[in-house]
Amino acid sequence: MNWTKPLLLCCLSASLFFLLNFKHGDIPPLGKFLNPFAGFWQNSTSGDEIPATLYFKGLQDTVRILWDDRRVPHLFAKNMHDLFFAQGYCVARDRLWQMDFQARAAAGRLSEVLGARTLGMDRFRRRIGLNLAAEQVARNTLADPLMREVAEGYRDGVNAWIAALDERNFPVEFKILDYRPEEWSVLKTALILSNFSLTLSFGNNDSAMTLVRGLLGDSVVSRFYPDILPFADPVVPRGTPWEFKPLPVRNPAIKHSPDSKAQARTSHSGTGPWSNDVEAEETFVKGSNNWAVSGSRTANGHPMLCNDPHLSLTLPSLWYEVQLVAPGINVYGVSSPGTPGVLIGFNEKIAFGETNAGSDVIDWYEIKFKDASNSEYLYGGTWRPTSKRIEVISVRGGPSAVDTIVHTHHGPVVARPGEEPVDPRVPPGCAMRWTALDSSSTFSAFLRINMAGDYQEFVRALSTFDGPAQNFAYADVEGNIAIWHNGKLPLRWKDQGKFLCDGTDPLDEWQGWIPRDQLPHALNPYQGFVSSANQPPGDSTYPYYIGWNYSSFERSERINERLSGMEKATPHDMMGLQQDIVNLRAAKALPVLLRMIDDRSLSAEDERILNELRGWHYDYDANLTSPQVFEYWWRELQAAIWLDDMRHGTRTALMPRADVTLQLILSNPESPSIDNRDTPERETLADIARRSFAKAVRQLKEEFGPFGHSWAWGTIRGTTIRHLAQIPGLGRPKLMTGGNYNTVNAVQGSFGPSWRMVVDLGSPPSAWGVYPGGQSGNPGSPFYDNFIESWQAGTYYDLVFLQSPDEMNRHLIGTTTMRGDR
Amino acid sequence: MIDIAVAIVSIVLLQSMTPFWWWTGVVPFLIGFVRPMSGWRAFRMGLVSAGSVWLLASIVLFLTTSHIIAGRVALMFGLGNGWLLVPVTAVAAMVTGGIAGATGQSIRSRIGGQSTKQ
Repeated sequence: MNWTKPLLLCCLSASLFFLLNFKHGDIPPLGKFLNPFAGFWQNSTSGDEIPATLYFKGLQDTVRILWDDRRVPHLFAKNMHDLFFAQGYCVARDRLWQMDFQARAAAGRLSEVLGARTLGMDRFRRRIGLNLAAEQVARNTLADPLMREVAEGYRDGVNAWIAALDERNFPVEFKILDYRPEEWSVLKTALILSNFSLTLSFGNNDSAMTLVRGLLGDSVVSRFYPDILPFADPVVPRGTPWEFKPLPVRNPAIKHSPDSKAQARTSHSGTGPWSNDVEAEETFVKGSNNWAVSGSRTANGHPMLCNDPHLSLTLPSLWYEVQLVAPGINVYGVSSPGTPGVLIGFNEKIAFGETNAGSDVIDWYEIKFKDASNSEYLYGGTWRPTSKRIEVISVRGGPSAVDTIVHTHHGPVVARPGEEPVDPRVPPGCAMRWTALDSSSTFSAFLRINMAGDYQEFVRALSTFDGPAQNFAYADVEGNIAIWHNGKLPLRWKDQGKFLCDGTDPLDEWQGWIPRDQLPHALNPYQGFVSSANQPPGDSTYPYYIGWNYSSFERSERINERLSGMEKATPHDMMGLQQDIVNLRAAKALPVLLRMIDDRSLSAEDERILNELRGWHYDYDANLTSPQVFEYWWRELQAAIWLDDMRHGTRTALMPRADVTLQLILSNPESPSIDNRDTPERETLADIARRSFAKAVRQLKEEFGPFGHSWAWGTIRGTTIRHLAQIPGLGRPKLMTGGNYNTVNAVQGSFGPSWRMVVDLGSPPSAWGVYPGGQSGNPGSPFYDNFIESWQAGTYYDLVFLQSPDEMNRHLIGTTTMRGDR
Repeated sequence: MIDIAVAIVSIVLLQSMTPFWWWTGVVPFLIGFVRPMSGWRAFRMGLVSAGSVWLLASIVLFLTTSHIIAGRVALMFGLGNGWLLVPVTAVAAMVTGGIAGATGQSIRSRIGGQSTKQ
């Protein structure tokens, strides 16, 4: 009997099963994935249907969910537990994969499902201890009876949705990446909150600045890396008195002589963020705008509050709109999927919105280890033992990775001595002191802000908000406006933490915390408005040192300039300001630079380019070519001015900021820094301007062909809204948009206004908003990305703020009733 | 024909009740193993039954509720048009069903030695 044929066919069948049942590289398991009964075909529009009645164990009373025509749920509950149960349920229904993925990412557990490619990311998150920080947040949350009710209600709501799922209705990303959703927990909520700290407060260039000081000396640092930024218009209006007695701060800074430190600095890796060019500047900009305008400046006499946080633009979107109503709370705004409550929004009495504070809450302590075992380190003249934490990272399709993390009392040593760090902001051999790893009650602070009924309650809630530090703008129906640069900020001497700190010396420790009532803030200032755009919080009179590397002046000056000119402002004016695309850097620099170009030496084409620039109004319109020319010119100009000064042997130090360059051009054009030291002749600013213009134009021609529409700002840079896991086909590539990171409408690459909100504090408030995405996380739903066109066009939706579940509103399209178990 | 009809009904029922895709192989395999037929006919039975179920199901879904997701998945795979996923889906089932049917028949023919030409 010949068994060859059956054996061959069995092998073929088995191979086919193996091929189609399992994921191979980026290709999903095709058998499962293409199956019309349970694969991607099931991720259809039928998931958008609104259920009439749902029954749940654990729900204490009836909850009504009113859905509006943009699929925003308006939740009416009779107690806090049920309210947040319903929020958890709704957001899981729409965004389960995103929540699961973001919590995994924060915990350093992506490699479990994505394989070895994310090992570096996971290791980094575990090294910085994001998981430990989240465990603390979760513990604090569960210790507070109100927060426990909220967080557990939310968790139960998410899990009620997960329990009702089977493979057919898993979000499509689970099918593509071939894994299953995990049960939700309070820890996962805490992980998502902790991840905000990584996004917003990890920014630092302490190591790069140390290199600058080591190579070029203190005098260069104080001249070109100043603490008081040029042109800055601070968050707290100038002249606002600091009505407090500041705490004394010990200042032993004199011990840092550059010579003694220079040798140590050069031991650090030569690669890092100090090869700073325009791209690098964009990469590290996490900007946002907010402002509140007093009734004295508005047409109807109501205060108005506006906010547009500039964050990663992704699909599914970072934000999920919701209205939450129960006894003691009626709040509308955007929430972060995975966390209960509203992060930016308004209730019946107050409105609130945030921008990133940008103050320095992370310092690096150089550690002197006794030997290569890293088991002991020198501190205060004695050797202290380190502690070691072992992290096991499971890796799909491969062996688990084991990582031993060394801890000192300062914090974790994120990159060991001599190790190439996974993140350029991490100096090897240094322990990290970061406020995000301290005990935090950020979560409860937001809930209390959501419930605040007046300024006092708002400020009380703020006093419990630790970080990531934010500029909170505030307005209320009583007519108050305010702004608070708020968070847990360490007490330090001037410039402490601007450079690497000495981990052996107890004098280098943080000296406590700035009392909350002494943080920069302003209530109802004389100018009739408050605003922030990540600029320095106070001027040189603020008594504490809290950081230096804030955003430059362009957005904040533009906002303040336009608000100052408004006497009868309307919501429409506010929207117009959020769309403003004038770049004040160009407005200040270009008139000076253009005067230096000699027309006679130019070709006809270059003359046309120059004429366009001369007629330009500094607006970054997608169809104009001048923004592109200016950007290239500026980049070349910066390089021409600084590269020769910042080079030391084979290494180049961090270039000074663009606002420092601008100040040099405008106020000190004769400075020796302008001259190119690499050439025998002495160049003037005019020489440098001419050469950099010629070089920029030459580059543009090489990259984009002859001068014309192919140089248009929107054509060249485009705005891509990527899928959160960068799965091709699930994002929105190359949108034509105006603006850049220095304009109020700060669209740049895949960053930009992730939510635009305007609130008119009438009684009740009226509000408008838009974000570049959609409420559904299902790429097979029309509600996945249906707001993008409005966002791109700069239009807004009416936000439906209901006062009662029985209210008639033309935008409402359906109701779901959630009941306790039958 | 009766084999094909039985296979189609079985696949539809089993796939509706469970999330498993591999019924497209298991059902033709079992029919090929149980029912006397030639290797070619067993292959055709599996190919036609599994292929037609997935073809019709994907056409219906594309025309009703799944055209948006099909368009996006087509982009993910570098295919130009969501429609192309209909034949891709059908071919996956055809190959699985056909080979599984032929495998079932060939084992039967070796165990029982009854390869029947109809």
